[in-house]
Amino acid sequence: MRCVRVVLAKKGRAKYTSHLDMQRCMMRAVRRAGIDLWYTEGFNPHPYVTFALPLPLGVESDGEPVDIRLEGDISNSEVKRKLNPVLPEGIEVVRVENAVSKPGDIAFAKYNIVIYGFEGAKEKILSALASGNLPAEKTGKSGRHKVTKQVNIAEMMGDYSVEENGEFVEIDIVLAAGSTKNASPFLLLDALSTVIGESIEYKNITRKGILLANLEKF
Amino acid sequence: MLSERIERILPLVQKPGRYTGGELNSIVKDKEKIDIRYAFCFPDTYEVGMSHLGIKILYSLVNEREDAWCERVFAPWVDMEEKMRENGILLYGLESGDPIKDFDLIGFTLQYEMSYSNVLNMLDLAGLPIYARDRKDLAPIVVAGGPCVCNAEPMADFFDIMLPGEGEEVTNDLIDLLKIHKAKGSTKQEFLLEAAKIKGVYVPSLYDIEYNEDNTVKAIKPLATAPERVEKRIVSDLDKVYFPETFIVPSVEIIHDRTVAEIFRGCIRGCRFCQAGYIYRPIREKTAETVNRDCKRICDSTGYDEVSLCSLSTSDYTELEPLLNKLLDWTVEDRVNIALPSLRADNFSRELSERLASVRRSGLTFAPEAGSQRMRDVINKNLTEEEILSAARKAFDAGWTSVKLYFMLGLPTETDEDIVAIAQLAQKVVDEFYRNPNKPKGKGVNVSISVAPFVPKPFTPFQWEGQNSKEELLRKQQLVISSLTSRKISLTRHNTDMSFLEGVFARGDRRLSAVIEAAWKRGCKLDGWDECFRLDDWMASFDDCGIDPTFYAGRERSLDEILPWDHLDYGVTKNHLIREYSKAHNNETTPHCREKCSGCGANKINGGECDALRKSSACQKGQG
Repeated sequence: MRCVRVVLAKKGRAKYTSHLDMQRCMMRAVRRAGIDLWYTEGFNPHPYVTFALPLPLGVESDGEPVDIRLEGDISNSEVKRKLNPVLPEGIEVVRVENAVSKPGDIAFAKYNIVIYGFEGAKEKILSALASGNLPAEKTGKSGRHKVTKQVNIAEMMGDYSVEENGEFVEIDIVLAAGSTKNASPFLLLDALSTVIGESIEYKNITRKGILLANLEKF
Repeated sequence: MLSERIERILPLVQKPGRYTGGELNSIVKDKEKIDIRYAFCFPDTYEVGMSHLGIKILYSLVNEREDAWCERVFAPWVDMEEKMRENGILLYGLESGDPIKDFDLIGFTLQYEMSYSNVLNMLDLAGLPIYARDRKDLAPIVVAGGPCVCNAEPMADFFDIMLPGEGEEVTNDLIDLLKIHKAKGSTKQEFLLEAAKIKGVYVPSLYDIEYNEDNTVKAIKPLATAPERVEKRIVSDLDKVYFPETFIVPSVEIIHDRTVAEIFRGCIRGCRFCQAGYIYRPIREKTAETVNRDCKRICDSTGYDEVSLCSLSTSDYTELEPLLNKLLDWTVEDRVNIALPSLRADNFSRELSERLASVRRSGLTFAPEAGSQRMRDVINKNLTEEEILSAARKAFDAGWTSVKLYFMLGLPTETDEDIVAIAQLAQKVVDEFYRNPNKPKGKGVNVSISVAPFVPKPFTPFQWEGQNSKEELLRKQQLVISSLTSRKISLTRHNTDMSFLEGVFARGDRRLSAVIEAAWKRGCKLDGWDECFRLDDWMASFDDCGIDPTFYAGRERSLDEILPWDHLDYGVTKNHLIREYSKAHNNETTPHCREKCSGCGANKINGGECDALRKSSACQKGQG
């Protein structure tokens, strides 16, 4: 058994495939490709296909790492060559690598957010991002109960830039990501809407990359 | 490709993957090179519709043609419909994103009565008038197929054409004819008059229905080119019938997300409540070789890890043993699970169960349908208590700790004793578990019983029976509950309101069109979903139209009454149904078709051929 890290681009309509559905999709793709999946040896054997960081529904990505355990000693390039022709529209293997860093080490993710412009959008967004106060309501679970908690997105972000682009405004931003502290781009848009007092509609959001604590590539 | 207007509402709805198209193996064509654009509509949600085998077959079959393009359309969920209406987005085909009102053919499959209101809603969402008579142009022609077409009279005013029987051949005939008339620039009426001449094509507007003062049907009169009786269309050689080489693999999870292969059509059993058992006759089998080839091909091209064999009674397939051998040759290695739904308790074997569990173990369900032997004889289930208990014994012995049992309530001639017997039978199954010396340590048993209200259906020997009222069914449900003697038994009940409405439409006539329209205008849709079903609005709609629904559901018909579906011919003769009706009332059973042909008449549609006859005589020869 060996574990490979397949890095997938997810574009267009494929962005509406949810995290769980992506796992099913990859399992089936590997089977279609005729690559031997490794199965757990328990009472109900199942394959091991794990995405490092769930991608929110509706977000595109330039590179989503998914760890897959395989039988035999198939090479990384062979995995890529066999998988690409059998993937659904919008999903493509960018590269296949050895799984070095652990998903637990993920600290940040970089996003490109394209929104529909509004009066003074660039300045308002820049000043909101610089204000240090971007309150948002995060829903989560505590045991079985649904809870909401107040978070300040300003404490969960890194570098950013804002550019006007015709009728659109593009925000490039680094947000906290991972199992302990995670800020989704939708949460950021909610916070910006509240602070600016404008209902912000997005055209497209793309995750550009996943980063470690030292801001190196995952 | 989706328009920007559609893209903009997708982030606002639940499970947007249902509305995007673009799934693996979906087919996109150049519309400039297409003569006939066909919208295949399933009047329920994506998850339900995409699980249906018929849509997979007809989708691929039409798309095999170079001159036609078939796209899929499903009922949007409430949130999506709201956004579509708000933004003026018309119902579109998933493959092209184009509005289906510009298509040439719109085909609905009517699988269950509770989807009727969805048809109206979808036509309206498409921007089309709901009544056939208000759609004046040649295109689109709105067609219905599926089992409900055996009596879709309540929907007759909404459709231009209905297709009783199997769709594989007649769909192509219809496309060919429409192509000619489109090129000629014919009127819709000219086309319909020609279509009515095709075998298996029913044009409802070409029949005039007269009623008696007591509201029963007085006469059904064919007009112009329409035949006196429309004979259903069937595929003669099932082994050679078109079957897709691949399935669309949905990007969002659907209900039955797996390879499905049909093993035979029809049923040898003749259970008297079962419409499918009568309307899909005569028996026609596929060979094990063909089924195995289809399964392998589809698994390879989809990546599915489960195969389900589809028929009305899997264990009655004469080539089951050789088929399983062929399948197991590759499924174990490929880690593909085999699911055998519709197994009968009387030929369930331990060996079979163990071989199936070789990859993954799935649930086990038996359908005694009734608790007492007398009741099972009335419905001609031909299953003894010992056979049921012995099946349970074998299952427990093979390691199962839970079984499901299906029953019906409100069957003709049913007494309280018969109902108490349901609980007693469940208890006996529990007892079998504890009697088993090899039962797994530390594990209890779970017998889950489901009781569904019986709904009399057309083309069955019970088509004349009255349906139990809601009050009576609720009383009977309570009786089952109070008769249960063990906490190891869990009970699932069905919505009696839904069964009532299902019963009204199953045996309804054309006057119900107005009720369906009224209910839809009151906002009724997705009636098969508990969270959407609103009986009050339906009852108010019956009131508005001055129609008493119990006339259709609760009323017992006399054997000589003209039934609203008498102009349709599904092969099985009325005389046969009357014979079976009389036997039921005398607690008499009829042996299954391989034991003895009961002369149902269905083989005349197939040139006298029926695989039940062929295979049984072959067996006898083999023994001799």
